[in-house]
Amino acid sequence: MALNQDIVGQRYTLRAGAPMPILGGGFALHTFMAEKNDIILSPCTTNLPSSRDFRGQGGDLMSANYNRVLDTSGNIFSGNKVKEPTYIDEDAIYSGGSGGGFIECTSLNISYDVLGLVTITYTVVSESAGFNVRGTIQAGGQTFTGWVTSATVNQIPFTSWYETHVTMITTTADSY
Amino acid sequence: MADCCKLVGDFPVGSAPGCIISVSTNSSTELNRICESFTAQGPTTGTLNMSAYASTTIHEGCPGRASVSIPWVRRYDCDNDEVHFIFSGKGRSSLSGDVDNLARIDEVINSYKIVNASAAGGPAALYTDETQYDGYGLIYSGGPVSFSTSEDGQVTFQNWFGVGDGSELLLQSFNLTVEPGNYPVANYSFVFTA
Repeated sequence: MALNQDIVGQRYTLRAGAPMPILGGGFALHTFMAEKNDIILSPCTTNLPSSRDFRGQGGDLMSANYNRVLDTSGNIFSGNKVKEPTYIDEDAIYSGGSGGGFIECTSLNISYDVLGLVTITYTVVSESAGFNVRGTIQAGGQTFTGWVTSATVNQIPFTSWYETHVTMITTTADSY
Repeated sequence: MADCCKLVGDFPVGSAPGCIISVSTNSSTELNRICESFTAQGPTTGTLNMSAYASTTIHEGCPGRASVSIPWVRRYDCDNDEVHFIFSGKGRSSLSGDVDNLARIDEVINSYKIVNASAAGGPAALYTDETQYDGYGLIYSGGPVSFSTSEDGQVTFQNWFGVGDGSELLLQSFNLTVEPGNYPVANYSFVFTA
C-alpha cells in the first residue's frame, strides 16, 4: 500500500430505541431505519483533513482521529475519518455481504441482562467485502435470534481479507 | 535400537528438492485447562526448520547474509477446526555483503555501513566492512527452493516431508549465509497445521 493510499471500510448502525418487553413474553424493538457510514482508514498519510471538511462547517466528515507514526520525516500519520451517514433500510445489512467466511473462534461474546436480553458480539473473517453478518447464532444449546445493531467492516491491513465486527441484540428462540 | 532412532541416510526426503543438511519440526497443541476435569483444545500448529545448501559452488569473495521474515495473520475457525494463515505482506528483509547474486531485496528502504573486526587472531586477520540494506521482500533464486515473497503464491510449498496434516508449508522466515571457502547455506522456517 502506497503512501496516502486509503482503505474504505463501512459502519452500519441501527437507529433504534431500547428493546421493550411485550406482555406475554418477548420484546419489541422500534427502529427508524439504519445509518451507514464510510470509514476511511489511512495507514500512512501526510494529508490531514481541514476543519472545513467536517459537516459542521459544510463538509461531509463526522469525525477523524490520527496518530503520528515513527518515521524520520516526522510527518506521517495513521488514522481514520468517518464520513456522514446515509440512511438505509434496517435489513439491508443482511444482504450486504456474501454471508460467507467464518466466525473467529474467541471473538464470540454472549452477554445476558436481567430481562433476558442477550447482546452478542462476534467477528466474521471473510475473503469477500461487504457486511458478512449472521442473523442467527447457535451456541451452547440455544438459538439466538434478533437484530444486528451495529457492524463495522474493514480490510485486514496488508491482506485481501476482511473482518466484520458485529453487535446483535437477541433473545433465545424459546422466549417468543 | 528403538523404532524412533533411524539412520539419517535412510531419511525419506520424498520429493524434497536439493541438498538438505537438516530438517526438524516443533509442534504444539493449544491447551487450556479451564475446569479441573476438562481441557479446552485448540489447533495444533508447528514449524519445520530446514537447512540446506543454497548452491553447489564454493563461495569465493566476501561473506554475505540475507534474510526475510513474512508476517502471517492467523485466524482460527473453531466451528470447523480450521486454522487460516493469511498472507499479509512481503515481510521485512535485509541483505549485506556478497551473496553471489542468490538473493536481492525487493524494495530497499535504507542502507548503512556495518563492520566486523577482531584482532584476537592477530593483526593479519581479516575484517569486513560492508553495506547492509534494509527493506521489504526478498527474491531468492538459490536452492533448494527459490521463492519471491512479493506474491502470495510463491511462499507456499508442498509438504515434502508429510508433517502435520499434510497441508502446505508456509514460509515464515528465511536466512542465507555465505562464507568464503564454503558452500552457501540456506535456512528456512515454515509453519504448518497439524
